[in-house]
Amino acid sequence: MRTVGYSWCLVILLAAIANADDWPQFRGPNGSGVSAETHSLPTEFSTDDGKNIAWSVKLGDGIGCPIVVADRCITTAMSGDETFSVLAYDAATGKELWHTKLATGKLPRITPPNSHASSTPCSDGKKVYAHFSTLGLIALDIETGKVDWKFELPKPAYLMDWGAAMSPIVYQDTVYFCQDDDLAPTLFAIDAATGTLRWKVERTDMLAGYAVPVLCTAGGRTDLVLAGSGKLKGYDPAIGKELWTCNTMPRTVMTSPVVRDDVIYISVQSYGDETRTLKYALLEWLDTNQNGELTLAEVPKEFASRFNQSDKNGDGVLREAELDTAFQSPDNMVGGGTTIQAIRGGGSGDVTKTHVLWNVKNKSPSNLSSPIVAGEQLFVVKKGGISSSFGTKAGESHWELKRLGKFGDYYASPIAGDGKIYVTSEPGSVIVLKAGPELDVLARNELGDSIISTPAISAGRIFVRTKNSLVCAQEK
Amino acid sequence: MNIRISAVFVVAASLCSVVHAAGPTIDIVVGPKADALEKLAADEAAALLKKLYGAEARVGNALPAGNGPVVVVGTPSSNPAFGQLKLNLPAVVRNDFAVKTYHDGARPVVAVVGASPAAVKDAAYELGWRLGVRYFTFGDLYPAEPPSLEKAEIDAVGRPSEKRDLTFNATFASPLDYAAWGVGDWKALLHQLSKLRYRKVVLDASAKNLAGKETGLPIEINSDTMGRAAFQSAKAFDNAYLASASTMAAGRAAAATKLLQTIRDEGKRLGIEVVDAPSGAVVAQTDALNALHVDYYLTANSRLDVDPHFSHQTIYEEILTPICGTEVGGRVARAFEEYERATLLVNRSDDQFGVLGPQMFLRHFEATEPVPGWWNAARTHYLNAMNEMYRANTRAREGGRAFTLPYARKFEFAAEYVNVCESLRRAGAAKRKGDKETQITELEKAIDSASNCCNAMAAVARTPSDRAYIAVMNQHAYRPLLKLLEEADAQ
Repeated sequence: MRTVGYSWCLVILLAAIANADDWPQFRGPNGSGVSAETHSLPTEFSTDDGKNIAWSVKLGDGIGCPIVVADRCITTAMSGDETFSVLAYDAATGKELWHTKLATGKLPRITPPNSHASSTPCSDGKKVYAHFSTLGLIALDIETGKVDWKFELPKPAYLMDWGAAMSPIVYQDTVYFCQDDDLAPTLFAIDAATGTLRWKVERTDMLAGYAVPVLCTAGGRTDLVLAGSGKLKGYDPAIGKELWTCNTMPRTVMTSPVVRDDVIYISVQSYGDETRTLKYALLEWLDTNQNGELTLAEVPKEFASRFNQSDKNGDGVLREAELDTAFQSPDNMVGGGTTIQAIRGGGSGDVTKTHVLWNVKNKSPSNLSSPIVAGEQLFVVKKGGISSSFGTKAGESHWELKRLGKFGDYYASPIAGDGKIYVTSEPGSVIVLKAGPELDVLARNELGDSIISTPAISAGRIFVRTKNSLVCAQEK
Repeated sequence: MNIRISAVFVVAASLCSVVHAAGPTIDIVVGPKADALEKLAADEAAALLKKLYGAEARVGNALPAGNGPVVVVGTPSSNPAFGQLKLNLPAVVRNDFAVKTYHDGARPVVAVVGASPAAVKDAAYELGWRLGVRYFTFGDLYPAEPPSLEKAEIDAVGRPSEKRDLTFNATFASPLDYAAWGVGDWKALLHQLSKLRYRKVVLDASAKNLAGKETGLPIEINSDTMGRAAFQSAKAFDNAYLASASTMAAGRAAAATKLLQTIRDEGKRLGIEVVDAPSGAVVAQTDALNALHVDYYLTANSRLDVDPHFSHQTIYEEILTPICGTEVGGRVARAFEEYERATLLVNRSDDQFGVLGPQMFLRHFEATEPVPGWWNAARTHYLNAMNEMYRANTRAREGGRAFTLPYARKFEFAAEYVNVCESLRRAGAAKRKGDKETQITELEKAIDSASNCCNAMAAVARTPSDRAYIAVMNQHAYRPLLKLLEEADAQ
């Protein structure tokens, strides 16, 4: 087998950050999950015996991921039944720097393992931008935690009550937030300094999705890229104009794409096959009396208006053809499926037939854990610790469906740095692999607590938000 | 005799919002020489009204001046306020109890009356029931939209038939039973049993047995534990009260003695007779699959004792509608029907199938018979039960999911349990054939399923018995299967 050199390509940092070691948003620089810093990272660490554990602090419930900016580790938590907290710690010592509490009001319905404190904040080094379902977007001063502005958003609504879990990004003085719910999916661009709306785009052909926006520079242009139901789209970040669409996504997209150079990589697992449009899920789960029809009482109250619009004959029941497009756009009647794709950035209009570089359809993808592209390797992991690795050039298989030796759910997305890939399991294991085309497990570490959120890397430290704590691992 | 009900609930959302914003003041009057259980009834009524309406409920011994609403609690003879108000009370004898509202006098009155002090206590809880509160052994569930207390018209009389056995049997032979329940857990349980009118608790335990290793406790919780979120940072799953005693054997035994006495004392305070099981009584083995919906049936049995015109089928809506909303009861009924079909099938086919203990799963690995056909049928019923309960859960939007979701996950546990056994049979068969690849694949599937069992329960664990499922599955399934996998890999 030809040995492929896995020198680290510099990840193009498209966000203004305070220093090069920052991890300023979900999965770090441009959401890649890859740290380009040169610090060595610990391979072995454990809360059982404290090996290579620098510090840990107790936290309330939450699954939002930690970020690290300007030597501060920032995370969120529910600190009371109706209290949302944003907390900042000294990244080196774990000393709490500030703790801002916000009253949430009555909380919406969500489905486990989601949490109300589910969104990952982002930062440009000046402010921290956080999202909460009942509060909208909030900007806090990074030095003091004082609230600078709030931008109220429509409360998101989900047919299956999954609940909010989207995360903002900040780029060139604009906070971008995509709220793809089932009711009024919209992409917002907010002025980072003032909290005023710059533009918004109603993504009316979308269903609920949780992908975080990424930026892709191709052909001298930087596009804001969003993965959503049925479609990967590129927008002009300055004005929100849709520039291109690649219609190769399945129906439910909960993972986020990653970008390397001018290529966008995405891995998605959406329940069922291509024929399984939303209607089937509605009839399986919302049709309480299983009579093949939906009445108004069987849908969440927030969808009453959509229900009535779809009830063409006005009989108070959605059936047959009415069900097909009641809540799914007729312009985007996509079903389920799995896919791992590489799509060339840039382009104009419908690029479905022109920009897909490769598309692998097998059982590798996870529905929740996003892929990582480290060097020329694309790695995915899913439930049971089942991993697969592919080359980025053509999706060529390195290995497929091999276990990492730790069972359980794998909700968090992998991260990478120092030639290693870190994979986190819900029961609390952090498995460390050597990055490369051969599966090589370097360590299996235990943190003794449930882990759902994706860790962060900064300045030689790994920050892991467990169910009850924030833990910092560092070589001692 | 039947219970007479002519309750008309008028939901006044505006009143509720006013109530929650400011909280009304309600006076509760109990007789000056009331029995301890009557005083308890008054306190319980106060707590209910506070939780439902944010009410400031003042308990006193005499009618307050003025025309404000008043709740009068007691037997007809113990509380002079009944006579002072000239109330035409329903007739109650023996263990009868009644709740009746009066709007035609000088002031609004709710009479909470019983033929005996214990029946007065029952009447207080009946008031909560009529206002939409539902009692289960795991706790109370409150209605999403409580009715207006001022406008409610209640005329409910409960005449317990005493034909139903409202005896609660507690065994301590396994962590899945009550071996892991400490003082706080027992006090809460007895409180709930009291609300459900269980008059007798039979304890099948001696202090020695409870303290000893026969219970299977403690069970290690280490960093490689599936479903560990249910244990927080605990290093072991144990009876918290016994564990807090000295680690010396004498300390644990003494704590067990104290625990059992506390159960008796608390039962007495609540009007529940706590007795020991006859010595030599045969104790049924604890079955992990047979008791998944016992919470609901304890409530249903209690209700059917005073509402015999309901059947087990029709009572679903009665119990669930106030807390879950409409059309949930029917789905729950279907879910339980499917679960009961699975239970009957399992009991008829292999009454040891669900008994969790050492070697329980490994016997499937060593069994030479092929996978029995009834396993697939049982699994199908469990999955149907799970799906129906998820439909009920989806429909139970405003509140009530605290009832439906745990059952959905428990039925998921049961389906995955079958998967563990099935994969182990296949793994064992593959090993005997020398097919290492299949052996490993099936062992991995078995471990996946064991993990799914634990995670299903971890998501909804709320009692020590729930957590026991997770601990025991780790002890007797997940960890032994990991060893089998290691051995297979090493071959």
